[in-house]
Amino acid sequence: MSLKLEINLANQGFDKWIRMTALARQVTGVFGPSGSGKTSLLRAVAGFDKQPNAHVWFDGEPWQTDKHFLPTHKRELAFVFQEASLFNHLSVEQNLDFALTRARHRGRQIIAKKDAIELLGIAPLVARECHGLSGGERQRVAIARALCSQPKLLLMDEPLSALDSAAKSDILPWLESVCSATKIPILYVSHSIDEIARLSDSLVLLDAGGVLAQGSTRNMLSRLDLPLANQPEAASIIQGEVVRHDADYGITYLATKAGELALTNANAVSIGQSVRVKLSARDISISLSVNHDTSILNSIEGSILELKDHGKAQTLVKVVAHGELILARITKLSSELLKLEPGMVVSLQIKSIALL
Amino acid sequence: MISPSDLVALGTTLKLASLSTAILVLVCLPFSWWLATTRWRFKYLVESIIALPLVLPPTVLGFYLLVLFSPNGYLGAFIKSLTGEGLAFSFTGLVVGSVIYSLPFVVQPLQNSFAAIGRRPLEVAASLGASPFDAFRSVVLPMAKPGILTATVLGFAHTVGEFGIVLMIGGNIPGETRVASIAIYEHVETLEYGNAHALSLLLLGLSMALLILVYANNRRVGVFHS
Repeated sequence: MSLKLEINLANQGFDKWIRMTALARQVTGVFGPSGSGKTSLLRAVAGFDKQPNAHVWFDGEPWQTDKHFLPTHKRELAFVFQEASLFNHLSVEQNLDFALTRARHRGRQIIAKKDAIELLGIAPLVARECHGLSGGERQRVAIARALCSQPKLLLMDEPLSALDSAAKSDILPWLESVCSATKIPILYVSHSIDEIARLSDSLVLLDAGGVLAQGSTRNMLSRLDLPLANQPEAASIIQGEVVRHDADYGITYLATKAGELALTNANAVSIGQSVRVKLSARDISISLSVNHDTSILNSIEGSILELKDHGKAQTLVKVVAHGELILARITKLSSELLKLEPGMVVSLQIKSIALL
Repeated sequence: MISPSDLVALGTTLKLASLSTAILVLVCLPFSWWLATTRWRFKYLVESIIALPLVLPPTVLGFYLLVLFSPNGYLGAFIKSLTGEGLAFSFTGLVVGSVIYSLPFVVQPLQNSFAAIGRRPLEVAASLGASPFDAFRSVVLPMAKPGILTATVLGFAHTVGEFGIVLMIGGNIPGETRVASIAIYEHVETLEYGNAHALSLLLLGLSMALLILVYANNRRVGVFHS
């Protein structure tokens, strides 16, 4: 199952072609500033708007060509909107059933209703009316409802952006389990690097109606020529495996290609499990020699690949540590005092590591 | 104090109002939906024509309908060739007149409530596999229920209260076109104030009850949305 998409948003003042594919078992992030065409792209895939210059193919089936336009209700997709758009005249369960009875799956089941309920943790809400639900609860119901329609493709248009930060952090773990449990391609539009880093495997970067770059999320995040690295929340992602827990201190040790990393708040992860962690660029400092008399637990050796000034006072440093790409943001003054240059071997002190 | 002939007139009024309202709601549901969702640039022309009965003296509307219904008129001749009867001074003619006269009272609440629902619920329904008709039936209609109730009650109450048009195109045929408002007029003309009082009070009570229903319904809905 894969989605092939070719679209020119000419009627919105753009004249570049967007060409992209989204693969099964993958979350493809679509990232870009407001007005870069993210939502228009998603709406064209859904068939809400008949974009005149769009070709959409899904799984070998033409959804839109020059001559042909398949209406939304015949496309085997589900759409999660920014605001939860539940049917308020129906109860939570009736909302789910609305999707189930209209599922276009011809005998093929992606997910059972009870699994969708469990996956989003909405069992206590099922009997309730939609009126009394909080924003986060509504969005979880909306995602479960989308899954109940047995889609072959899941489209999400900034599903967290209408929520406050508490609701956001409440819903992200559920969203992650949806992304890893479903085998269908997911297109996830967002303007939050955090969400993209946590959820997506590959990334399409849009700018002014065109594709600026596309590739694996990990590589894209560390590219200094792209706007991602220049965001305040710029970060790198590292894959690792849990090797042991230190119950006395609440520390979990992770084996990564770059070396062993210690992190807190990861007791729940079982040993041997593979995890992804996020290293924020602003939480990494650089020294020329290894420091032993420091409170910082994580220190990695690597060599500088690239340096780039970021604003007036800061410098972005891209370091490769045994094949892992790590981004650090330090002051320009420090960079000049240390005389940092590509090729130099440095020690990275990582102040905090977040489990994804 | 209500005479048997007044009861017949009241029966004619209720029959006329029920039938006209039923026709109005059936016609106006799809029509108002179209008005609420179309991006046609001349939509405002259609809206103006529908709003005409709001500002036009009922006698003007009645006069034109009378001309149209006369056996020499196009519509009248056509209907007569079909049914053998003319529209003028008939119950059918009254129904046609009432439907036109009460049109804005049904179209506008429906159009407003459809417009308030917007396109989003339809997009959601379509993305979940509902065809446009299915979405209209299972999402838009239930969501527009308060608006549909308002439109129905207003259409009914307005038809109960019409006088000028009936006078022009209906005349005063007992059991056919003699409605309650005409009966009241007749009682006053012949100085039968007692009968006029009784019938007027009945219509006042009925109209008040219907309006209370509309506003109570709107208030409840208002609470739900805030």
